[in-house]
Amino acid sequence: MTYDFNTNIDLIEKYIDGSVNDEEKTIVEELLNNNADLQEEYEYMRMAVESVKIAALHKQVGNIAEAYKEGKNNTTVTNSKPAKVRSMGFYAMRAAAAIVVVSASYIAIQYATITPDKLYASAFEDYNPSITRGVSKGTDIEQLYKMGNWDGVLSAVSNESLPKEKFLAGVSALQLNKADVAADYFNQVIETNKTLSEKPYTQESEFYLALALIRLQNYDAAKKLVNTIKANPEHAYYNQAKKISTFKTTLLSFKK
Amino acid sequence: MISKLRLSDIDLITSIKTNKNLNNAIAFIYQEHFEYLSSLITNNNGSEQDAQDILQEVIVDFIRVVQTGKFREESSVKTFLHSITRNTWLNELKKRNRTEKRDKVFELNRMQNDSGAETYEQRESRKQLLDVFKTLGEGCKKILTLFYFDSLSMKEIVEQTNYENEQVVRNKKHKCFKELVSMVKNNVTIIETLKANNI
Repeated sequence: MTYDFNTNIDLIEKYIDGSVNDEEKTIVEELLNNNADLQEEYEYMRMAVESVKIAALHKQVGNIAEAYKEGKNNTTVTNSKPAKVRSMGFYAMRAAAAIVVVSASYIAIQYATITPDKLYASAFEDYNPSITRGVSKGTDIEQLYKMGNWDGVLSAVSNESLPKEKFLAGVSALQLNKADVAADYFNQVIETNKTLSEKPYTQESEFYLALALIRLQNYDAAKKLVNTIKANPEHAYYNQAKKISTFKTTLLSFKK
Repeated sequence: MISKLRLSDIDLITSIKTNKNLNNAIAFIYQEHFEYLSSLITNNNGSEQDAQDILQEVIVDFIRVVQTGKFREESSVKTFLHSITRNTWLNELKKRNRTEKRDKVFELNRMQNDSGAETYEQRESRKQLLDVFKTLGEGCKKILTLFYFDSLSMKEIVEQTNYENEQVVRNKKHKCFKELVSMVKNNVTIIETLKANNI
């Protein structure tokens, strides 16, 4: 069996990728033992694969370093007596060490235990239209929603439905664990309202969309949305958004 | 009361070698060793930022050493990390040509050395490999990472990208890989290291 140089190169790439059969494997190993040029090509390919792995690892380690740093800063900020650390010598060092240990442990424990469901559950609250909006009767969709007939709401909602009805459809979809459907309805409300002077149910949709994105494990988008809400104390869901920890959301993104 | 998570050296090495819970392993390294290793740098003319940058590099080096079976398990993880950190920081200082700091650096030279650590050329080669990869296009970076680092099949890559089918992914991966190999071949430092150290 004879091969030209380029065919051999392709075969070596297959060998590196682990996709050769036994016969091909034997051929490649013989080639590598007997042909210095091919051996050199093989080393270049190995280095290329190594570069991929190093770059990916570098990114992975960098992400965890950031989380470690963030967790450390969070702990330092929330500790009410850091000033003592500077002035008490030995005891200060012990206190600093304790902070480091607790913060590191906190990160490790959070990392090991956090799940999208837990983060979602920490902030999700049933939406009650009669309380937040003072609606006495409402449309059919509202009635279905109030009865907890989530499937009924999703069947009844249409493209022509009001923003409020689409928002309720989104919450109903969340109740049914259909986060992708929910995100779609919330996005529709937000998009439609962009062209309107009044923006009914935009703030509600933003908050519940963030929850849907956590369920969908789209953490970057969720974090962005939550940070926008947290940056606006006038936002109707400002306090509720604070229950969604940016730190935990970041940790979750590393677990993907 | 929060209790501290523990991993023995053996557990840590196993986790890295088998690539299982690698994130946990990295988090544990930070939890367990960051402060000490960081002090080696900050006590020897380095800033906090220097410490963070160098330790990121050190941990990547350590993981690759373990994954490629070059970690000699008779030395402890702490000793090994100490050794890589020390050598990496010394080389960094040399690069910066801080001759006026030699007296302080000398303290590092007296620190314990470990023969299990890699050579300067090998670490330098790793840095060059990282730089080479960074110059690839985003599409190639993604497909090669999914294939070689995440070990996804062509079918799984199709599901995670916008490529039409497995054949398109296969062709794209082949093209990207050839480009990367060509870039490696054109990097003098990598080639010299390869020839000098036979890695």
